[in-house]
Amino acid sequence: MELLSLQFVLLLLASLAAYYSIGRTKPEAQWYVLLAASLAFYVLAGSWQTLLLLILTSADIWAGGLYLAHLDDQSKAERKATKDRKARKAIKERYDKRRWRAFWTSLVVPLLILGFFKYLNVILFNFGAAESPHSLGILLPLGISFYTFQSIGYLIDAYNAKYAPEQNYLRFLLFVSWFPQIIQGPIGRYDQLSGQLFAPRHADSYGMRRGLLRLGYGLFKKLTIANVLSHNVSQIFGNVTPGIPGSVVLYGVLVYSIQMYADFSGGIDIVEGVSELFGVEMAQNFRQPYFSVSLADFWRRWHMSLGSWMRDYIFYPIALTKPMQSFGKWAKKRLGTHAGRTLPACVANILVFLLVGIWHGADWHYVGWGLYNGIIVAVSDLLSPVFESLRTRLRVTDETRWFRAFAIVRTFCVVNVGRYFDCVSSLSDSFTCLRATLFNFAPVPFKTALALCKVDGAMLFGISRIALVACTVVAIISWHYERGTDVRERILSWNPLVRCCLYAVLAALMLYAFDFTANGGGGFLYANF
Amino acid sequence: MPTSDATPRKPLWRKLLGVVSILVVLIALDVALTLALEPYGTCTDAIMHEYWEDTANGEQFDTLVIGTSVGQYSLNPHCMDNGLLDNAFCISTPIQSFKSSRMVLDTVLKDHPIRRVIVGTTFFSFASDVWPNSNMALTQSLCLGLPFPENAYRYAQLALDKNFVSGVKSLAFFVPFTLNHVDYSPSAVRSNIQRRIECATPMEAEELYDPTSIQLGNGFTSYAGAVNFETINENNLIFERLKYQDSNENNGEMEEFASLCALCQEKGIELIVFMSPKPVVETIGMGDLYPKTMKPIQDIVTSCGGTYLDFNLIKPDVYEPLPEEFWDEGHLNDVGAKRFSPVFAEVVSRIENNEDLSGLFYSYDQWDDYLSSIDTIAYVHFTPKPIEGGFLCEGEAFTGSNCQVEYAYERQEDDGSWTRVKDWSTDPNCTLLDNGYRTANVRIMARQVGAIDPELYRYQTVTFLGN
Repeated sequence: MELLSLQFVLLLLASLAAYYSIGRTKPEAQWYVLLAASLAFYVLAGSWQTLLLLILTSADIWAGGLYLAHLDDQSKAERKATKDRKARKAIKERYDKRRWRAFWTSLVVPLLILGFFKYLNVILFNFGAAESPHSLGILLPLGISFYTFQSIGYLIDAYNAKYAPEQNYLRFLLFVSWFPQIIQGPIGRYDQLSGQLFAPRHADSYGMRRGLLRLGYGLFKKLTIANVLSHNVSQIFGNVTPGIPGSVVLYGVLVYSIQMYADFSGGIDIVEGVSELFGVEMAQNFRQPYFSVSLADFWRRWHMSLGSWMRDYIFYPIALTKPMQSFGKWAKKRLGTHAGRTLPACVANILVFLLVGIWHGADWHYVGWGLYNGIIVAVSDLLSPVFESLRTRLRVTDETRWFRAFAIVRTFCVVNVGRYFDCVSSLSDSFTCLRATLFNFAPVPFKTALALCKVDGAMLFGISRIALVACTVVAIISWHYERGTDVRERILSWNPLVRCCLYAVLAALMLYAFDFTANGGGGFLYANF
Repeated sequence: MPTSDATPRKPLWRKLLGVVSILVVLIALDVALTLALEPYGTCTDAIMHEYWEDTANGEQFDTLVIGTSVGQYSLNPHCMDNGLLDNAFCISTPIQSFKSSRMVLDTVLKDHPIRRVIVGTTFFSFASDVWPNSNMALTQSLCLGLPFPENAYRYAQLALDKNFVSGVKSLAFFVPFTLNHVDYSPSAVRSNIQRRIECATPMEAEELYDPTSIQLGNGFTSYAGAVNFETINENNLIFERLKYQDSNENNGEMEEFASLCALCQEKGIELIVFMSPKPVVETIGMGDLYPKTMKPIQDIVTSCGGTYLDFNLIKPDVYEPLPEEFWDEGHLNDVGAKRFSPVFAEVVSRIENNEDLSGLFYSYDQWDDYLSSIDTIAYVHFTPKPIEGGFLCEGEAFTGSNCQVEYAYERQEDDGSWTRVKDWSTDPNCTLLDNGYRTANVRIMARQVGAIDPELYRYQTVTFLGN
C-alpha cells in the first residue's frame, strides 16, 4: 500500500470512525484503535516479516528501558540502605557499570538490524566481497531508519532517566509504530508523543479542518511540484557524462532542490495532517528552510526532528566528553577563547553531519555530502569573529532587510552546492558536476543544452507551467508563515465562497498534474532512507 | 493546537445541508469535467456501446473474443471462409488484464449462451503494468449497460482490487478522467465536446477520434497504416524483453489467467488461447526466455482442456507475417489481419476435425529448430555507450542461428548525405567520436555475409555531450 492510495484513505476513514466512536463509550481504550491502525498500515505497506523486525526492535528497546529503570531503582534502594559514603559510591559505580552494559546490550540489537539491512551489502561491496552494492538483494524494511532512531532516542532518555519508562509494551509499540510517522518521520520523542497518543479525545471539527487543510497542502506540493519535476531531475542526473554542460547541471540542482523540498515537506505535511485528524500533533519537521540566513540555521529548519535528535543524542554527548573538554582547554590556551569554545563543537558538528550523511544512505556521495555540510558549519562557526569584524568595518548590521535578503540568497547557494553530493548516484558524478559548473558552464546555449539532456526546452526553463504556478503558491504561503501568520487559521476564517474557490483552483491544478503521478508513481524520496 | 470557539454551534440540519450542498457541487463538477475531458469515441467505448446495443436488440453470440488489443487487431471475421466468427463478438481492448477479461466473460455469460471463448494475447500481457489505466475505461464502459446494483458491485470490485486500491492510481477512483483524458488543450477539449454533441454513437465518434480505425462489426476493428521498423520507438519493442525479465517473477497475471481458463472449463466453454503474431524480433529477441516463459502458459491452457496456439512459432511455409503488415510495433494492420485471419480459421477447423497440428507449429521444445529455420535478418539496432569523446555503438542483429551477419555504420552530414564511418565487417561495434555538443543521425546496416546490398537499416539519434 502506498501512502497516496485509496486503500490508505479507506484505512484512515475506518480508523477515524473507530477512534472517535470508541471515544464516546470507552475513551481509555481509544489508543488501541491507533495501535491496530498502525500495525495494519505497517503490514499493508510493508509485510508481516518487516512487522516482526519492528516488533523485535521495539521489544528490545522497551525491555532495555525497563531494565535500566529497574537497575536505577535497585541502586537507589541499596544506597539508601547503606550509611557509609564510600560504600554508597561503590554501589553507584557498580550499578553505573551494569547500566552501561545493559544500555549497550539493548542498543546493539536495533543497530545490528539496521546495519544488516542498510549497510552490509555496501560494506561487503567496498571490500570486494559483493558484486554490487545491491547484489545480495537485501531490501530495506519500511521506515527502519526512522523507527530505529526513534527507539534509540527513547533508550538514551531512559538511560539518562529523563522520564519513567513505559510499563506497557503495547503502548510503547504504538509510540514506535504510530503510522503517520513510519514512512518518512518526523522522528518523535516519547515525552512529546505519548501524552497525545494515549489521551482520550473527542472529534474537534476545527482541529480536523486544520488537519485536512495541512493534508491537502502537502498533497498539493507533492502532486504539482515534486512529481512534476522528478522527470527533469532524473533526465539530467540519470546519466552524467564528462562533457555535461554546467548550465544544465546548475539548473538540475536548482530543480532538484525544489523537488526535494516539495516531496519531503509535502510528505510531512500529509502525515502531520493525518496525525492531526486524530488530534495528535507530531514534531515539526520544516520551518521555511529556504528563508534560512545560514547553513546552521537551515539545518534548524530542514528535517528538524532529525536535527534535534542528532543534537541531543550525538552532538552534546560528543562535545561534552572528557577528551573534547580537554581539547577545548588545549585550544583555548594556544588559539584563544573563541577557538577553545568552538573547536570541540566544530569536531562534533563534522561527526554529526558525517553520521547524517551515512544515515541517508550507504554511498560515498552521502559521505561527501555530510562532510561538506559539517565542514561549512564548523568553519563558519570558527570564523564568525572574522565575519563580525568585516560587517563592522563595512558598517553592515545584520538586522537590515537587505542584509537578511543577502544572507538568504547566500545560504541558498551554499545549500545547493551541497546538493551536488546529494542528487547524483556516485561521488565521482558529484565532482564531474562541480567541475562542469566551474569550468564548462555554457559550451552551448542553455536551450540547446537542455535539449541535449532531453529536457523539454519548449516549456519555460524546461519546467512545466503547472510547477511554476504551484511554486509561486507555495512561496507565497511560506512567506506568510515566515512572517508569523497562521495561514491555516487565516484561510479557515475566510468567507466559505472564497475558500471554496481557492480549494477548487488548487484541486484543479492537482488534477491537471495527476498524469505525472499516475505515470511516475507516488513514492516519496525520503521513504528510501 | 489553536481552536476557535468564537462562532456559535450550527444546528445539525444546517451542517448536513452544508455537506450535501458541497457533495452536489463536487459531483456536478466531476460530471462536467468527465464530459469535457474523458475521450468520447475510444475503441473500448465503441466496442462496449455496440455490445450493449446488440444485446438490447436481442442479438445472440456464441463465441466471445477477449484479451488485449493484439487479438482485436489480428482478426477479421469477414476473411474466414468457414464462418468461424460469424456469430462472435470481440471485446478485446487495449492492455486488457486477465482479471478484466474474466469480468467481461462474467458479464457476457449473463446475456449470451457462449460456447467458445477465444483469448488473443501476447507474452507482454504477463509482464505489463500491474494495473494499466485502460482497466478503468473498460470497467466504466462495461458498467454502462449494467443495472444499478450490478454496476455498483463492479465498481466495488474495482475499488477492492488489490493491485489498484493500494497504488497511487486509485486516487483517481472518483475522478477517472485523470487516468484517461484528451490533451489538456482548448482545441482537444473542444473537439471532444463536439464529438459528444455531434456523433450519435461512440462508434461514429471513434471514426473521428481515430481515423485509422476500420469498424468491421460486432466489436471487430482493423487499423490502416504501417509502421516503419527502421525508425520505431525501441522502448515499445526490444526493451519489452527487459521489462519482462524484471517483472516476470509475479505480477499476478498468471494466476488471473489460470482463473480465467478454469472458469471456461467449469462452464463447459471451449477455450482457444492464441498468441497473436508479433514481429519476429520480438520472439527471437527474448532468447531462451521465450520458450521458458510460454511453456507454463501453454500448460495452464491444456490442463484446463483448452487449445493453445502460438502463431509466433508457426512454420514459415504455413504463415509468416511481413514487416509491412504491422500497424505498430506489436499489432497487425488491416492487411496483416486479412492475411492472418484465414490461417487462424483454417487452424481452428483442423482442431475441430481433430487433425494433428504438430506439423504446423514448432513446439517450445523445438526452440533450436525454430531458430535455425529463420534465414533472414529480423531486426538490427545499436546501443550507444558513452566513452571519452563519443560513443561506442554496440550493434546487434536478430536473426536465425545459422545466419552470419555483417554490419556497417553511416553518419548523416549537415547537408543530408551519409558518410560511411565503419565499413562492412562482422564486428558489430563502431566507435563514434565527436568533441562537439550536437545530435547526429546514425544508421546501422546489416546484411548476411556474402550478400551485396544491405538487408536492413536502423536509424538512431545520438547526442554528443562534449568530452
